[in-house]
This record gives sequence, structure tokens and C-alpha cells, in this order.
Amino acid sequence: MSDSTLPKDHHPDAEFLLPPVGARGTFSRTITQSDITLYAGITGDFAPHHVDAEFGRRTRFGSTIAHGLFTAGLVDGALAALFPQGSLSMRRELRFTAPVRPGDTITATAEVAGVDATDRVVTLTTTCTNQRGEAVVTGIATERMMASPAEIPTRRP
Amino acid sequence: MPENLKSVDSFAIGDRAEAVNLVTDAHLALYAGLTGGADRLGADGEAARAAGLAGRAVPGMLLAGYAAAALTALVAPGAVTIGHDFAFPTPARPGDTIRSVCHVESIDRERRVVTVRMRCTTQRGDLVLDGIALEKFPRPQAEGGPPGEPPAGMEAP
Repeated sequence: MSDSTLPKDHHPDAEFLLPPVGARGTFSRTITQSDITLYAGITGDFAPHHVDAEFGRRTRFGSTIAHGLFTAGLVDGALAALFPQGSLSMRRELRFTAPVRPGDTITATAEVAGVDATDRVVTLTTTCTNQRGEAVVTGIATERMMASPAEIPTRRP
Repeated sequence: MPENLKSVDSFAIGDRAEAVNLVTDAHLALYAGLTGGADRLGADGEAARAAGLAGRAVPGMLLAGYAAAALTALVAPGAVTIGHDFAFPTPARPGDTIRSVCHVESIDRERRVVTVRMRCTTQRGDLVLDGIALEKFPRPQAEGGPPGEPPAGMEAP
């Protein structure tokens, strides 16, 4: 499920307002082997520790693990909760700090750290945490906020 | 179990791998479902009509996933991805053909870390992703260790 700290009922035009520093969006879901295999299918990354249960059992993790970039992609879910008007990614910095196994429940959080009102660029700290409270991915996202639907994505970030 | 586990000594500056992916509507819808990310223009017909079909954004992190297939071909099995730093200079569009190239940019043999440059371009020649992956390799297996065991820590992106 997703959530954000911004007010839920506001004038439709308000969704194009820039967010305040400290605004936070979250997105949580349980990761399954089906998800991991589907991500492998979309991207073409079928490394065995992601999709081969027999191989995964023999690694130190004892199972398959999710692609780091799949887990990091859950930040897009937190951003969607925070920015209904949509945004264009300009930059993502990521550190992978712990593995994600099938059955883990991951909460992705994106919190506004800085806003450039002239260029409509928002910088956010991002974290993905598992059900044990361990950070599995940390990073920084830089997003260009859209000013109107027609602008997506014709304006260069 | 694979006998071809890579180590930091397996690489030379300039070693490279490539992948080609087509950005399909199916990929965009499935990726939005997997990550909770916004496929707003895809889901909202009015917004899509207002923006034009060319106005549908491709998430930068999906491009990173495409590029990771080439990264896996280059560094797996054996590598653990520590992290990434991605820039997305120009947005990609649905229907684009994405060509990903990953090449070894630097090698820190003491720390056993290989830096891989990752770039994605479209059929128009636009640069849509420019970044790096930091790949860590474990210590060489001690003599007499179990043959074919996967190394401690296995995570290609």
C-alpha cells in the first residue's frame, strides 16, 4: 500500500505544486519469487541467484534473492504516492546494504530533502526497509516535477 | 554449479557487454505493477490524449534494469553489486529500442572492486542513461575448498 504526508483533499491544480521539504511518501509490498522472475523476464537479467531455486539454496543466502534494481525500483512507488502529477527521473544514487529474499516485505520511503522552485527539481532521500527494520537499499533521488500533463515528458530534465 | 566464477583478476579495462531491449507497453504496465510506480499516462486516457502518445514517460529505473542484463553478462557469476549512480540525461519513449553498453572503467585490485560504466542509447542516438555500477568480488577460494561452491555474497544487479 502507499501513503504520503501531503493533504489528500486539495484543488486538482494543487497536485502540480512543488512539495515542501520533509514531505514523505511510502510504498509497501511483499516480494515474491513470481515478481523476481517477472522482473527477470522484462529486463533479460536471468542470473541464477535470482531465478534458480536450486542455485539459490546453495548460496549463503539460502534462497534466491531479488535484483537490487528491482528493490530500488520500489522507490518509484513511494514517489507515485508523493507526486500524483508524475515526475521525470534525473538521477538515482543507490547503495545495496542487505539482500531481499522471496517473502520479504519491503517498505520504500522517499522524503523531500530539497526543492529548486525555478527548475522544478526535487531532491529526495530514499530508503527501502524490510520487515525486520533493516535497510536494504539507501540512496538519493533527483526528480523533475511536471507542471502539467502536457509537459510529460517533452521537456528535457 | 558453475566453474566459471569470476574474480577481480578476471577483468581488464575496456571489457564490455551489450544488451538490446524494446520498450513495450507491456513492459511499462508490468513494471508499474511490480514497483507501484506511476504509469499515469498509460492508465489515464485523458491525460495521454492531452500529452500525446509520445508523452508517455519511461521510468529511468526500467532503463537501469535493461542495462543490468548487460552488467550481469559482464560480471556474473561472482560479483556483488555494492551500488550505482545513474543519470538520465534525456527521457526514453515507449517503442524505443534501448541499446545498453557496460564496460569496465576502473579496477581496484586491493579492494577487489570493479567500476563498470553503464550507458543506454536509443535508436535516435539519445543518451537516456549514463551511470556506473560498483562490483565487489570475494576473496579467492582457499585451496582445498569445496569445488563449485558459489562465493560468499552473490548479487549481480
